[in-house]
Amino acid sequence: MTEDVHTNGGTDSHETGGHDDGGHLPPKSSVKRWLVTTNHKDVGILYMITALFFLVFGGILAFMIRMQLWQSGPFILTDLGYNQIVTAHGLLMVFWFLSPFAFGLANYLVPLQIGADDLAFPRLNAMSYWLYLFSGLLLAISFFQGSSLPTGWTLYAPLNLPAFIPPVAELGSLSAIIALALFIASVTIGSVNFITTMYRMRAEGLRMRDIPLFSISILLTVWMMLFAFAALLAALMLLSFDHIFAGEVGTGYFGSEEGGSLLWTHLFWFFGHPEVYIVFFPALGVMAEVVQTFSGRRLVGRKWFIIAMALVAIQSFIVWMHHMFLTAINLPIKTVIMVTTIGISLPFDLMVFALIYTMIKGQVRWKTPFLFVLGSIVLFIIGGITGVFLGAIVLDYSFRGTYWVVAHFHYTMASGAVALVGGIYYWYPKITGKMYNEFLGKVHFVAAFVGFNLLYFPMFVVWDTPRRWFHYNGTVAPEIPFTNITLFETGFTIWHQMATVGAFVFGFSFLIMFYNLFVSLYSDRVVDESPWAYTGSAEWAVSSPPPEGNFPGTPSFATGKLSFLSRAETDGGTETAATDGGVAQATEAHEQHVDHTSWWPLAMSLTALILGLGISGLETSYFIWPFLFAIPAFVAFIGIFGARSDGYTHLHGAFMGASMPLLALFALVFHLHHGIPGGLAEANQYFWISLIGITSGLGTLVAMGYESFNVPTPTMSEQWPFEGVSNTKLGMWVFLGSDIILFGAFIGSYIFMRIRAGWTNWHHIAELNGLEHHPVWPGLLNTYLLLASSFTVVLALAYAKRGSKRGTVGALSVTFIGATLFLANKGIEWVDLYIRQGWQFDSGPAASTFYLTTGLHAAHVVVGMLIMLFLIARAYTGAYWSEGENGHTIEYFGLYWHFVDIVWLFLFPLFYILF
Amino acid sequence: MLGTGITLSSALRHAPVAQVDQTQVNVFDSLYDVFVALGTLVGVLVITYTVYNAYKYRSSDGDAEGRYDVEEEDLEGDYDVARPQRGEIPTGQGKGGGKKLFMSFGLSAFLVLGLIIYSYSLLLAVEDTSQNHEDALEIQVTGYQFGWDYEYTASGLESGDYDVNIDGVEASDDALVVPRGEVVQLNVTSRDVMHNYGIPEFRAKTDAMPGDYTQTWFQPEKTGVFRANCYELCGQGHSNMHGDVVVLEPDEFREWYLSQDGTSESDLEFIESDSQ
Repeated sequence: MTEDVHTNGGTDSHETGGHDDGGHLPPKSSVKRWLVTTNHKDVGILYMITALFFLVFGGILAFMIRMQLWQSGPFILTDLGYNQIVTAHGLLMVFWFLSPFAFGLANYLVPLQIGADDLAFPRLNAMSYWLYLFSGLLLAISFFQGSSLPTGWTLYAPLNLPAFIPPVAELGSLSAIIALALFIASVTIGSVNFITTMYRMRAEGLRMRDIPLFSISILLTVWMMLFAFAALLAALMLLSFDHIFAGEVGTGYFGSEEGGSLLWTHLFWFFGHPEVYIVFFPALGVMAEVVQTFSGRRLVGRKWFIIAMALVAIQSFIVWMHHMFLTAINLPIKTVIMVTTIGISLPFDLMVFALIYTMIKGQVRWKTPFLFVLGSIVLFIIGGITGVFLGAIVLDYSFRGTYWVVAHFHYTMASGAVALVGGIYYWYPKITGKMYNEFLGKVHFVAAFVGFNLLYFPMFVVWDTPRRWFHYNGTVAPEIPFTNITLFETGFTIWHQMATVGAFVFGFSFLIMFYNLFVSLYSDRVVDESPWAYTGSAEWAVSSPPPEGNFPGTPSFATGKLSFLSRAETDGGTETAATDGGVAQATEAHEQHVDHTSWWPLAMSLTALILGLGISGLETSYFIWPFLFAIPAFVAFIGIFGARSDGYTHLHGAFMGASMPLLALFALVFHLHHGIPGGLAEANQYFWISLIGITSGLGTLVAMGYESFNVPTPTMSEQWPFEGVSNTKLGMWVFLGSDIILFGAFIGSYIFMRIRAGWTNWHHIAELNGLEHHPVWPGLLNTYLLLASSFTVVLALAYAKRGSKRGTVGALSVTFIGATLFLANKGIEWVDLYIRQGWQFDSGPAASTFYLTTGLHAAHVVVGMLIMLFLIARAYTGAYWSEGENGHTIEYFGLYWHFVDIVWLFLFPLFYILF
Repeated sequence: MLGTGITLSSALRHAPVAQVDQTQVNVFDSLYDVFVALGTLVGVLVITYTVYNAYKYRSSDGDAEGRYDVEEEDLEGDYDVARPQRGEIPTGQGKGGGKKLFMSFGLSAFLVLGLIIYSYSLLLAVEDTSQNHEDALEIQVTGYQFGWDYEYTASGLESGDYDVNIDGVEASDDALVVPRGEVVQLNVTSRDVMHNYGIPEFRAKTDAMPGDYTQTWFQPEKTGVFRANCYELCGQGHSNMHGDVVVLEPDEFREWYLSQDGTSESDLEFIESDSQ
């Protein structure tokens, strides 16, 4: 059976002739296949291979750290070099290796485990991957822009500001920050995708609680990701603002005197703590699956295991201040956090014990996956216990900033990596259809386990080594606890040398795995559906590797066990389609055509990379221009792509025509500000890079919007509790959830700084910085405009449902006009504040918070307007009331627009009435 | 083991307040020792138990003919143990193992609770001395890239205005000089980026944050020259950001202190009135 034939019930949906509009996938041997695929299995493989590459990259940096620490004295790295390496090692391992690797497995396995054909949004899935790859590329590029970030992966403020970053590292630092932001975009899209899929696309009969444990761990991971990463994005946006617009100490957010340093720690760790569980949970899922299979026993206390995991996921959001015990937070809150922190060890306890008890009375086979998982359990126990030490505040007072912390988090996080390696071996036969070499696998395990402990355990012994020091001069030889016996005259050196040796053993052990997995592809050890005994979940019920459509029929658990129903019986409710039996009939009229390929995710991500690179070097006075000039291009693109896709209409002509005067208008304003051609000649290359990036980026978005990409919703699936909510609608709601956190962090930062400055002191501070008056009425007018526009959007939906083209286009246009008036009004207000009164972006905290928070909102309005232009063009050609399309798209947009409206209802009191 | 947490915490709760006998070193050592003992015990027990069970229930069957794993066995009558079957809807173990899980969970909860209570009591003692101890030498510490500045609060004597020319003591002129056996309270901040001030020998440590003040304290019980390090990455000089801490006998300290400009006898009242 070849890979690229649909195996849905035996019917063949052939494309005639040279059709290449997203149907069949090219063969796996072709490069094109991997560039255009949206199939979850392909994307999973791409993620896994890319993540392993970043593992090697981060690992080499680790080697350099350990070589530097071989002895305390002459060093091989400069101080700036060491700081960059330490930073990049952390960023790469945490962001670009661990989670993406887990998501590679998740991409591959989750649809199989829950009985779905693919994820809910396949193109977005591909986009997640490409954004991830290119964000990593941008991080790599940052090294070549002089120097990369030297602040540690925790990016503490105000060290993360231009005032304290060496000039040579300024460009690279901003690139690295933007790379992180791109990564967050990738992750957020992924979260929306996985959440929608798992709630709405399960096979019939599979309740939420019946989902296999690996998929459950992924579900909890993506929920955490959705909220945690939004907080980090907020922090990074604020930081980018500080980089671009607020250079001096005392300005901006994190350099401000209103507790900028503390504010960063709050924002970062609110993200940072859930992040470490985000990294670990998939490993926990792997542990559960592997222990179950290789013990030959169902997981003990499965229900409690799931509850414990969910509890940890929720609790992870209320422990973040344990990273801040030595900051200026007060004693009562420290106490609360101590309790929640030490308390979070309890659900973990339960999960570890559940795993252990599962082995009892099992039929345990010590195969490579099991060895790795068993090893990771042992390592995690050590890591977990040492974490409880850190929760006892008085101990943390001494452990802070030392290698105790380093050893603890490596034991926990790297044990997660060890578990994931077990997952690689476990699912390798499923993915490739071949069995790896078991002996080599065991050799890998021994080398890895020995190397791991040799590397990290000595760090506990010499825990008094300060973190991020490139030597350990001045440290005292450690003593054996409870005695006065000094361990080794050489002080810390021997222990650090053990760690260095361990690093190389552990690192090189991976080479055994790479070799093994590579040559096994060409071995003759072919496997069937389940080479392992006692597997339970659905991925083991299909061939290895699975067929392109995942299952030989529609999976269903209605009978209490997995069965496959003929697809013709279950797709689209047709009666005349051919049943399975291999008879190929021309059933195109009744077949649901499924698209699998698209160039746009790759293209769009590439433009994101270009734009990100461009922003890193944009000068402040040139900042807005690439974005402004891209707008006429966007308008023209709608006209062009729309005409190609829907057929030319006058509206398309109007769009194309309108782009010219719009460009002329912006060019005029540019000329007034900078002068043409002088301004253009003086613009640095990053201006042009940004312009190319944003313009082509908007073009790819329009093209993607117009691309016909059919993903049929399964007709028989479990959808609790979202039975009445379509996939796209659920996706929109989930996305808005993360947007709420984004705004929440912005607003929270404002409130934090304002309370620090004295709530009633705020206006006075603004006045000291140049503000003369800040009238409320522009905000009030804007409130009315937005409320009215929300009403007209609802009108547009009503007209669409009724099939009235004029009504829909009209109502959408009025909404657009309302938004335009909103922006125009805001523009007038800002011109007065900024230019006439001289109250600028970095004129103190009142200014920064005002401009940035309302600015973020305005950016959301602009995005809404761009979408509306697209909707109007589509509505004009009747796209929203054809059969099956009941104005849904307008409804989804309406949700977004109402969200924008509601956010303003918070901003108006905070930034106008209470100013 | 279980009682340790409860007992120790109640003992400490009834100990005299303002425990100058309990220096940060004592507090840390006792807490650390308890945690290490307990942690090692629990770790060794659980790990041994884990590996033991993994070994004990090891299947003696080899791989089935032409396959890569054992033959799946049919279980009859062993109701405590349910084997996974392909394509099943997982139902867990039913009644097997759940009770054990609750017992171990309960045990850990009890242990953890004890640890929380014990740690909390020590936290209160430490914070109390930090904030409220009356007869202490108060020092303002300001971190900067890449060193530490001190100011003796009582007199305003600052780094740069004093020298450290003491017989038999080799230390830089920006060292911190303190007397042995007295509580030294540190009020710490930074003038540029975030640092962390720590004297490992005396277990004093706190963040140095620009625009904020944090507090810690220590009571040195031995004389000599020690180090204060920076424990938060603060730039290229981070690894070499350390200062000297000179501990003198109280008499020697008095002599040195009063020989500096701007100091007076009244600043040193804490040495007399501090009860031992």
